[in-house]
Amino acid sequence: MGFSVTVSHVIFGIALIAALSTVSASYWKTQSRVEDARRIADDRAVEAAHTNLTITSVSWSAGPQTEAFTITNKGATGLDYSQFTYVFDGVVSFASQTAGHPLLNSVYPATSNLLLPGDTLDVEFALASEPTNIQVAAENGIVVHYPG
Amino acid sequence: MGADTTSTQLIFFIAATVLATATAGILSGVVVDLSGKAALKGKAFGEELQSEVKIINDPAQVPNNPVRIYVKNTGGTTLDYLNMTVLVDGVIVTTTNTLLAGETTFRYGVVAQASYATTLAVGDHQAQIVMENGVSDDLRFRI
Repeated sequence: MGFSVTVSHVIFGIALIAALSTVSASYWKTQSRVEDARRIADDRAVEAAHTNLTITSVSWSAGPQTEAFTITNKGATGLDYSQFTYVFDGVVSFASQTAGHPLLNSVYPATSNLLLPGDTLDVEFALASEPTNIQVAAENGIVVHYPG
Repeated sequence: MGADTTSTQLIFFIAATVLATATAGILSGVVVDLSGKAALKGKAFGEELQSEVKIINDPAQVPNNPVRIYVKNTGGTTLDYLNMTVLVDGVIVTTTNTLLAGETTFRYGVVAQASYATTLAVGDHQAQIVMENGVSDDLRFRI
């Protein structure tokens, strides 16, 4: 009778150790994955908080029907301007820019897709009419609006 | 007398061992199942944290009739643009979802368009989009 109880306790003990081992491995693996994801989300939030774009030198040329403006990166985050989305009067435009554009820091063709802090991007689009509102969305979702 | 006692004790021993083993087996099964589900939940939560979408409409000039909501994937995971739930003024609406610029997958940087065939009244409105993993964004705008 005493030996039965001992054996039962031993079996329970082994099962408990095996269960704790499985739970522990699963817990730490899950925690690690969540921690990595949280770090990526935090990095994204910090990057967005340091993003600051401005739109200046807006001009419309009636002859060729083109709208030109300059985007300046006044923030601390480098951005990929090939991922910018342009919205004219509320409508997204994926039209290609006119010949000789965009100019990165007044240089064409640009040798980089990065708009680093302090860089300027001169863009020009052929549009049906002069837009009253321009909005540019960066790849992290931060937008700049003109007129501001 | 002796044989009776021995066999009784043996029966008790076997019964106790079988019971303990069965209980341990059930406990192990439950724990393994829970661990698997916890791992799945952790993976899903991790993916949700890495996902992000932003509505990039100009809030002063949202296209009306049809109402077009532009959603940009700003996160690290590819999402299903056809599984986008759109709410306008708190009500789920039926939309036609497409990807812009000839894209075929709603990956990072791609813009999706949710087109709602209606004309909103002049005034303030709110649009909210929710993706299949729960990540969402909302925009208050004026018509």
